[in-house]
Amino acid sequence: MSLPHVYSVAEITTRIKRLIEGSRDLQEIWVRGEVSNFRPSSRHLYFSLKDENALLSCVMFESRKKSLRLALSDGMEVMARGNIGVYGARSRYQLYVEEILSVGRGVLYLKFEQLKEELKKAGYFDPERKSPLPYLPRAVGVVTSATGAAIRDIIRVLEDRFPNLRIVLAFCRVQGEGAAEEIAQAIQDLNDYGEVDVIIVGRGGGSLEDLFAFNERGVAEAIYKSRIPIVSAVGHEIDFTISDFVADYRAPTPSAAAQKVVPKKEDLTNLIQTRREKLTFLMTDHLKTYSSDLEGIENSLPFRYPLRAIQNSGQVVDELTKSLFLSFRRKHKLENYRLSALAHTFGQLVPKERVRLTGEKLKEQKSRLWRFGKSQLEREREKVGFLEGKLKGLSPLSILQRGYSICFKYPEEEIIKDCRQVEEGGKIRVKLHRGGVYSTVYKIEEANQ
Amino acid sequence: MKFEEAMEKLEKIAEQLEEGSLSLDEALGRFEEGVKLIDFCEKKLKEAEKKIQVLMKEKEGFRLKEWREEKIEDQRSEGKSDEEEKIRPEEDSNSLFKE
Repeated sequence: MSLPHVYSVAEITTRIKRLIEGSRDLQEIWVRGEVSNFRPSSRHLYFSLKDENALLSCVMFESRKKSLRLALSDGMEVMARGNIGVYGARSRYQLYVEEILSVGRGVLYLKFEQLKEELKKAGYFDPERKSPLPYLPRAVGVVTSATGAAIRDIIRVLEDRFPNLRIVLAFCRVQGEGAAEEIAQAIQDLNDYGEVDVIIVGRGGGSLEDLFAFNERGVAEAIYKSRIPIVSAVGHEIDFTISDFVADYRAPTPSAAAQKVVPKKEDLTNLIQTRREKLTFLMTDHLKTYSSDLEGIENSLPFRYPLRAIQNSGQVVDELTKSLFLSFRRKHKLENYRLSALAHTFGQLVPKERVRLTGEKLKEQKSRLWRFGKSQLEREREKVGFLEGKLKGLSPLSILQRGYSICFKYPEEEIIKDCRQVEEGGKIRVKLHRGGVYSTVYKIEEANQ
Repeated sequence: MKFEEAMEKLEKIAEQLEEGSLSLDEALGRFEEGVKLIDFCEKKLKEAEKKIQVLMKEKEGFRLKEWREEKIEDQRSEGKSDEEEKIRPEEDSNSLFKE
């Protein structure tokens, strides 16, 4: 028979410690009670929480003391959050306190946590359902108090960034009884009104209780339902409210919200100017490339002699003329030969005079033929030269480069060739070598025919 | 068309011109389109009329009232400018609402 296990004190203490500190029921808990036996030391805080029937030892370590925002004293009702742990050396279990809130605050906090959890589950905070803020809103809506500091901050920043901005204010109370309903209504009103593209909802800094309207369900729902994107700006950087989580964008302060909703007008003006310069530069560059390409083409053979075919046929004409001439010569020779043969045969029968005349006639015919061929060629050459010039002139670029311009009816873009195409007061666009001009016709000069 | 859409189109046009594969006619067309877009953007910046109005709900629809600044100067009962007040009494802290 073996003896029952005998624990050492350390062993059993470890076991108790494990049991207690491993229990979920005893970790991350809130305990409500009255502060008693409060002993502030230079480092840690020691006190107890008690009610009618029980007492719980508490310790708050130096590292957590920094988060303490209220001056503890005996008799105070508080809520403490922390973990139950075991202090073996004194056979003591105690609450290792992480934070302490007054009961009023604690209740608000728990309400906040509960609603936050619930709305999170319901998808109110989902990043996918957040709409992007407009780049340049037509008008900005503001939901805040007419008498707060927030409205002044917001207007100052908005005017500074975009001096000719339209602002629509929907005033409401932002704290106290009924404030949440008014905030929700103001958001709804701006949605119904519809002319703003973004809404700032917020207020300046205040106590936790002051900001609490922005933690109410009604406000969360109004923000959730808003078709217009909402920027939430409640209190200071460190204050988080439910409206911050539901809103499309959370700004740390009202001023920051105003900065977020409109771009600086000056920046946009500069951006536009840069784009304009870039576009002009690119177009000029394009034209330069194009015009050097064109020169290249103009200098290339087919463009210099676009009617090479005609010249070729001119050559053909030349050759034909030559061969015609030759055949004439042959014929002439033959004729001569035949004549002399005849003369020889018939002797005095054929008068010499006649032979001479026939020869003359042939000569004349020969030169006529020459003349015809030559003038034909001349004509063709002239035609080629003319067409060459015309081709060069036809390039719109070279025309514009020489200072001519093209006039279009605006906005029909119909080329104007006759003054009767336009009327006084009509709009025209003039395309120049560089850029163009839009203008209005102020006088019409009839063609004098 | 929205301002940012016009700016995007403009960027595309610049890219096309930069590529340099357009014919002269096409390039001129794009250039003209670009100039129109720039004019449009400039107009957009100027068109908003400076106005600060208060939305007033009526039985039917809404009415807009010019806003006057004096109203807030004297009675600042609630809230403090987020620039003026950086240090706050400990009791008033809301650090428990940290994310």
